[in-house]
Amino acid sequence: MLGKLIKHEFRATARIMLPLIGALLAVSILANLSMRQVGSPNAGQSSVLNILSTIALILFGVGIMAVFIMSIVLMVQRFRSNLLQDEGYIMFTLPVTAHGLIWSKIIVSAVWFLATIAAIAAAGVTSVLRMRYIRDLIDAIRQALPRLTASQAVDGTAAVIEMVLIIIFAAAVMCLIFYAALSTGHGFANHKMLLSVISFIVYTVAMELISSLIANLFTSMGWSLPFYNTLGPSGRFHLTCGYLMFFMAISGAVFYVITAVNLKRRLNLE
Amino acid sequence: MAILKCNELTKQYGSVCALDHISLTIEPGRIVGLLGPNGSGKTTLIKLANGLLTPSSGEILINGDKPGVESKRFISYLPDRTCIATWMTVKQLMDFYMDFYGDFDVDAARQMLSRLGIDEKQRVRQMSKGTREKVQLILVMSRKAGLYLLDEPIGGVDPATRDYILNTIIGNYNPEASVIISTHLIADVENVLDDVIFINCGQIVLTSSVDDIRENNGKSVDALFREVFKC
Repeated sequence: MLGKLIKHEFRATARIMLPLIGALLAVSILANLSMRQVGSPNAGQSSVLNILSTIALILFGVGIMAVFIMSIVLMVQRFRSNLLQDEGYIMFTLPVTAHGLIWSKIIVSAVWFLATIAAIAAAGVTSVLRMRYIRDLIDAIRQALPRLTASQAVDGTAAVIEMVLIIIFAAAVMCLIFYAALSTGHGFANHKMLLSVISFIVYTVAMELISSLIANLFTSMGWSLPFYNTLGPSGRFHLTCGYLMFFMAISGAVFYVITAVNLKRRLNLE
Repeated sequence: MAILKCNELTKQYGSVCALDHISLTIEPGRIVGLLGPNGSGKTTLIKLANGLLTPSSGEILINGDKPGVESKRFISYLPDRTCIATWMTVKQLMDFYMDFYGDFDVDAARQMLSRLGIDEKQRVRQMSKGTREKVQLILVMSRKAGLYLLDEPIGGVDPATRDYILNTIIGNYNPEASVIISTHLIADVENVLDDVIFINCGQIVLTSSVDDIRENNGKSVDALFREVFKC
C-alpha cells in the first residue's frame, strides 16, 4: 500500500513541481543567452537587448528562489491539507497505517528536495555554460583519471555517496521537524497553526541545543581518542560524515515517533 | 457475528464526556438510524468506529476487529463534509478508490455518474457544492463494503438532492451489509430504516426496530423523537 500512497502523493505534487522545474530550466537558458550578451564586445550598444538580458537574469534569480521555497511550502502544505484538514477524513480511513501515510510524505518530499537541488545545480550550470568550458572539463577529467590511485577512487566514491546520503537524511529530518510540529499543533482544539509554529520553534531549539552539547562532548572527548589522531584527512572526513548521519538518524527517529504518536492518539480533525 | 459492537465505550474531550459508557450491537443486513440532536455524540461514535478517534475507555469492535487496517477495509465511510481533493478529476478519484479498495465497483460508479451527467474529466473544484456531495456519495456507495457509516448524508441539501441521496443509498448498498445513517432529519429517513438508536448527551436513550416503535407506541419515529428530545 505504501507504493500506492507514494504514487498518489507524486500525482498531487508533480502537477506543481514539474512545471516549476521546467520553467526554471527554460529561464536558465535565457540567462545563459543574457550573460553572453552582457559579456559580449557589443554589450551596451542595444538598450533593448540590455533590458531584456537584465530581466532574464532577474527571472533566473527569482526562479531559483521560487523552486526552492515551493518545495518547502509544498511539503508543509501537503501534510497539513492532506492529513490534518478535511482530506484527512479520507486518508485516515484508507486501509493503511499511519506509518504508511508518514513515510509516503517523507519519501515524496525528499525526492522533490533532491530534484530541486539537482534542478538548481543544472540551471546554474546551464546559465554559464559555454562549449569551451565543456571541452576544458572533459580534458581535465581525461588528464586526472590516469593519475588517480585506487584508494583515492574509493575515497572519492565513498565521499560522493556520503554527501548524497547526508542530503537525503537532512531532507528527511527537515520534513519530520515540520510534521512533528504540525501534528502537535493540530492536536489542540484551537489556535492550531499558532501552536504548530510554537512547536516548530521549540523542536528546532531543542535539536540545536542537543547537537551543540553532543558536538562539545565530541570535541572535548571523542576527537582526542587515539584512533582519531591516526586517521588521515579522508578518514576524518568519513568519520565526520558518519557522525552527522548518525545524529540526523537519531533526531529523525525522535521526530518520527512524535509525529506517529500525534497522528494515532491525538488526531483532531474538526 | 455482530457487525459493530460497543462495550462500555467512553470518549472524553478534556472534561467533556462525548460518549458515556455506551454498549450496543448492530447485526448484519440492517439499516440503522443513529438519531439524536446536534452534539449528542453521533459523529463521535462514527469517528471511533472509523479509527479517527481512540476511545478513552471501553472498546468498539468492527466485525470482531478493533479499528485498524482490517476494519477500514470493511467500512465505507461518508464524512459529514465534502473531503475529496478539489484538484482531482472524477477519473483520478475513481483510480484512487480502485487502488485502495478491492471492493470498489467502478462500473457501478460510472453508471451513477453518467446518470447525473458528470464528466469523468471534470475537476472537483469546477463542481457545485451539491455535485461534489453527490460524487463523494457515489464513491462511497460504489464499494461492496460490510458496513456503511454515513454521517449526516442529507444535512444541508435541498429536498430533491435528499431524495437522490436516499435512493442512491438504498439502491446501491450491499444487501448483506449494515448501513448506519446518522441524522437528526428523522422524517426524511424514517421510511428506509429497519432499526433506530436514539442518542443524547453521549448516552443511548433507546434502541428499537422501527416496526416495534410503530406497534408499541402507535406513532412514527419522527413523532417519538420529538417527544423524547422535547426542549
